[in-house]
Amino acid sequence: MWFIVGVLLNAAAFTLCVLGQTLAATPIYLASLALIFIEKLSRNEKRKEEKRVETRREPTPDEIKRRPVSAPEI
Amino acid sequence: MKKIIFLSGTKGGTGKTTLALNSAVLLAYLWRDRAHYPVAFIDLTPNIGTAALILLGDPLATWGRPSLSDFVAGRVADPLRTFYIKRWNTDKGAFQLLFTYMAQDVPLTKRQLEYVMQTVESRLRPKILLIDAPPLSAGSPVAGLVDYVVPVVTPDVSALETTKNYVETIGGKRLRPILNMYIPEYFISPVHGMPWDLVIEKTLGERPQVIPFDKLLQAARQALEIEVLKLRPGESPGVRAIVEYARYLSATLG
Repeated sequence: MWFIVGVLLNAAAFTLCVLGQTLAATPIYLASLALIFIEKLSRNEKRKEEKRVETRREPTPDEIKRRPVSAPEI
Repeated sequence: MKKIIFLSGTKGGTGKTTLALNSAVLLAYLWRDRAHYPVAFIDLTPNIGTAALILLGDPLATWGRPSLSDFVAGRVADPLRTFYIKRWNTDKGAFQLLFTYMAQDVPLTKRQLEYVMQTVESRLRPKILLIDAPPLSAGSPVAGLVDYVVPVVTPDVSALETTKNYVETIGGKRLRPILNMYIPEYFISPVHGMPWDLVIEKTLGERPQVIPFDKLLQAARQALEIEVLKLRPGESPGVRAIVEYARYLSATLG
């Protein structure tokens, strides 16, 4: 979502530059960059979380063997 | 004393032993203050069944010890000499299970099994006696001796058909059936064209307790451990379902 807004703002800043409105285009361009980076960072975090979930390993038979006996949860 | 058998007819590998042993342990824990020996367990599998191996903890532990097959062969006069106590000490108190097993493959007659049951009932007074039998054939000594039958099936047409036939042969009141090793992604029976739980309801007369296929149960079995004592319901959907079934058994039989 923010990525699309960022790209649109980037295009708007480019259009303003072409029209000679460089001063007006500068803050819009910076804002667009910020939005694009925010989106990219959040995507990377999500990927890391997914990887963390994937790497949660099930105990092996040997690990189960070494566990102490605990009262059944009933 | 109520006598219960987990049954899959002539079909093996449906999870009878896992379910019988875990149910026995859960009921022994739940009823630990109600009787000195709340649950007795007989493993009728010849040449030492898996349940007995797990309870003994070591295949070599059977050496030099009398088993039920010694009583059957006439080498031991009192069947109670072949029973053992497995005791667990946990943070929430100690509890114990009484058990016996068949160390050799000797033919057990109905009369001998009936005598064992009567002796256990009169001298040890457990609340229930759970029987884990190998896949049955016609003329099983268990027929007519049990009060309750738990049909155990997998999503497999032949398992369902043989279980249905033998539930009637063995006798006793049918308890809620169990659909074991269920894979939720494959919930429709391609042969019947309807969900497996409905197929079982139609065949056995009651909606089953579904126990999903769970790799952790397989791992615990490889470790020769009792699943409900080593795995938490939060990490194992199989253990969660077994605990649910034990609650049902406790409510029905307690």
